[in-house]
Amino acid sequence: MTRYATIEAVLSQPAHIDPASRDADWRIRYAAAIAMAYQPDAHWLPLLHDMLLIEAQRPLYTQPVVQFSQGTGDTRMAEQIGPLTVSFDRAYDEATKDAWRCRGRVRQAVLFAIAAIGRASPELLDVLHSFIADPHEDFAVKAATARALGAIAHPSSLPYLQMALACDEWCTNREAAKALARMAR
Amino acid sequence: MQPLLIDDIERVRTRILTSTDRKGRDAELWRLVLRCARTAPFSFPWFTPFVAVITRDPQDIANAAEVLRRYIGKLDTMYFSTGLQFHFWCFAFPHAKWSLYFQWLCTLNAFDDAEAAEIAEQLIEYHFVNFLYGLRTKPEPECVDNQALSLALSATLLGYVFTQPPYASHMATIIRDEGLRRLPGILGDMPPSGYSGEGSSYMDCVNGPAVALAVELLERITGESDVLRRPFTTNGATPYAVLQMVAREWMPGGLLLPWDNYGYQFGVRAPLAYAAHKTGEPLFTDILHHEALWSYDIGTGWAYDDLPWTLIWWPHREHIATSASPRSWYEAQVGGALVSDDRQFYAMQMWDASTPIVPTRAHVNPNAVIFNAYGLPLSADGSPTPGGAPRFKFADTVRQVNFLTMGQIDEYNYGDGCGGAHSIVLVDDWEGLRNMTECPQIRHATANLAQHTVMCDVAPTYQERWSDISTMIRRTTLCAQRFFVIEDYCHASAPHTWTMRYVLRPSFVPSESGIKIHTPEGVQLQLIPVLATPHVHTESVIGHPAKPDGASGIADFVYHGTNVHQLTLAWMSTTRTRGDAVLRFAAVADAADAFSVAEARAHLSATDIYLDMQLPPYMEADVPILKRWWYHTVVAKPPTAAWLQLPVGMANPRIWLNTHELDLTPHRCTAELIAPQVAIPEHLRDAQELDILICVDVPVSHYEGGGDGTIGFTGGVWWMHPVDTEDVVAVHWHNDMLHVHSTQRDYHVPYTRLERVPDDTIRHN
Repeated sequence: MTRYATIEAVLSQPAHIDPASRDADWRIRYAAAIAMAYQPDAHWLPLLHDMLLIEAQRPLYTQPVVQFSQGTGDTRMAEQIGPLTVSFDRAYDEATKDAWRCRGRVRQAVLFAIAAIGRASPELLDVLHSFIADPHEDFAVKAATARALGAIAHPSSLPYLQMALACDEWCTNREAAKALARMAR
Repeated sequence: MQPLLIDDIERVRTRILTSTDRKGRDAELWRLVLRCARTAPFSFPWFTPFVAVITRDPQDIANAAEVLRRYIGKLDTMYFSTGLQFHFWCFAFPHAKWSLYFQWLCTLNAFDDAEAAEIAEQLIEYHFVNFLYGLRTKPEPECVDNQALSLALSATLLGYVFTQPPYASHMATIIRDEGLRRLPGILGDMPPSGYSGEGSSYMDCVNGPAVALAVELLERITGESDVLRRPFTTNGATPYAVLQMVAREWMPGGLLLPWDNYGYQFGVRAPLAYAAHKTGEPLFTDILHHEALWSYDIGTGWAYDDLPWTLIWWPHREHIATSASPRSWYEAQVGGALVSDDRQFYAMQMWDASTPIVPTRAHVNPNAVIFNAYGLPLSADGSPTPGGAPRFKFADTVRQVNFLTMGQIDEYNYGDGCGGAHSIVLVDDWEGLRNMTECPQIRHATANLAQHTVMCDVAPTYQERWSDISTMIRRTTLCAQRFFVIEDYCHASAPHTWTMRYVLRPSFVPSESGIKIHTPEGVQLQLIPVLATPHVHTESVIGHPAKPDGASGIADFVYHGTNVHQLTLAWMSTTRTRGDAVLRFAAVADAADAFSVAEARAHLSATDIYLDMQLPPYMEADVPILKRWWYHTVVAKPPTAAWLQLPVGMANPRIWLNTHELDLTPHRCTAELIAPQVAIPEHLRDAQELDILICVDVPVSHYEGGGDGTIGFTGGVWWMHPVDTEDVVAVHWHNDMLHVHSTQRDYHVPYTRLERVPDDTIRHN
């Protein structure tokens, strides 16, 4: 089955979600987390925790500065068509480059699934708190974490949400403000 | 299968293909787009799918299919860019457009079934893992801006394309539903004025084009009609209001309002065409027919397809404006523009909300005024020249950001967004004026467009820092269809320094009263305080704003006291008038950029190409798309002609008059946005005829503007003649009458001040 067909199956047939959550391809794991969010249930939580552990083993945020054959890789690249090539400072294995492609995508999808479920184990909560505390975490993950923490509404999250509220990035501090308001109700 | 989002493709094809049988701006535009797509399909890739569906020519279809393959070919590499990873909205919108164009090409059988299926899968999956992720990053429902709109629209568009037969994708369904769930709320939560606060750049290049597509999509998906005027939330905003504001940003002469971060720029055309097509209102058709430039190419939603959509939505012939539409406007939360009936005189007073703390996009411009006369800007606003020493950089306006790059820290200064960089009233010399909290910024905005006046009290903006300030009213009035009066009434319970600041285009020239600027185009603006004599200070600024001049002048009228009440006369005049056009230039391409002047003359003498310099050569005629061109003519010189107006947007121009090369260095920056007027040297003023030789570069792809828009020269060459300038001799106000004595006539205008203020509270410096 092609990756495309596998993702389609994951999104349409719940039986495919469990194996997909451990698939070697991050896009399929991402699809599995999105599928879980559409069918929120606490029984997914151990799988979601495991998915975050898989992501923790990957070098998601270690990409060096790269060179492109067209421009600098900023937003102007959006308007261009190919051909386009990228040069790295040295050779990297495909698994590493695939982690750079992925960055926080699987994490965000998992966090949205947790937010939809609205519950988390203490261990899972610790992982979520670590995303907020990590200065190198992508803002998309931090914002999704704040949203999930607001849905879970556990008192231990308050200092982390305060930390997110102080973040300079708007999506993160906005989600934190909403989470804190929700917990104050 | 029909190409999606085009109503009745056969009728559109017939209209466009037969347009060349008649003269018209649409015919001119179609020829331009067709020539670009045919001659250089991979340099103008965004034109190719449209040209293919219109012509159905096999080569056009093949070119467009190859363009799409090249787009697919770059997808994986883009993962490693900071753009895709952190500015995903810029990539989502063009991705959705290419998905739509893929569907168009499938209607032409541009791909075999296997290739079509493979491309569709790649487009869908890429959006699923990148841009659904991006859309979900934006907080819901409070994120309402060009970024969220782009992401929601892109999801809806791509999802729509790939849930139509023959596709049945679960990914596409999720993408579509997520977009469709958020898109109406984003449209409905726009400010009711239609102005998102993001400045002309994002209004024009993203919000306007996105709204037009959103209306078309929502009508098709929901089956509703008149979505254009539907308020999606209780907020009251409608898609129409956004399009109306896009049109209102056009000033006479074709430049957009320079408010907020990016300053002056040309406008895009498709949103106007769409609004004209849907409403037939003259506001839209008028601009489209009389002020829009075809040789300006810029990404709309990060896609260079503004001109094709302009043609698709070209208004019905019966909607073509036959008379000028009123151009004055007012929005209670934004500001108002006053335009004379002949459109020669324009002023806009703005009070749109600024962003607290870090006013990067929505600048602090409470009651700022912008002047424009004879189709030319007179005020300066925007952001500084990159890399220069910023005039408006303060100790507390430098921000470090690390969340939009991979490990690097970006530092930028947002001082040019603060009050001091705008034509407002400064208090106690604080140029860094901005709010630190979310709070009301204005009150009592009013206008009477029949009486040509707009007014607002912006005291709340100042009260966060100075709680004793009770009134900061500015009222702008167009008087006698000829000049403006800026009335300022500021009141506080403690004494302050009040500085009525005007940030203007260069350069200051001596003036017997007040201050006066004289622009390179010979237009003058004189500002004369009427009621009391202030301390006047002027300052020339290099590097702010970047456009149009890379420089500006600051005029400060300074007062001290608890109150200040002043009328300032804003008087505009011109020193030149346009005569006849210079037409029919011999033209040759310099393919290797290597001609000497003598070689160019030799080639010109043998050419059979004659052009009017209205547009880059390949847009005017069937000639190759080459960068460097030479033009030549010998013409009788009108005796009084003292300047030549050259086309706007000339790249690397050189000009010789009777073998004498003119120095165009002073025009280098300004000429990108404003047609330069070069003085005919004194020794040639009495010449019977002039030998005019011009060398100029033209853009050979969409992309030469580096993301900021690509301008190919346009507008032609004109003789300019001196005129007797109408200057102000004296002005005074007495018994509710304003008396202006000019060198040509007297004006006696009833003018009642807002209310009396004891004169003894004003202490002049």
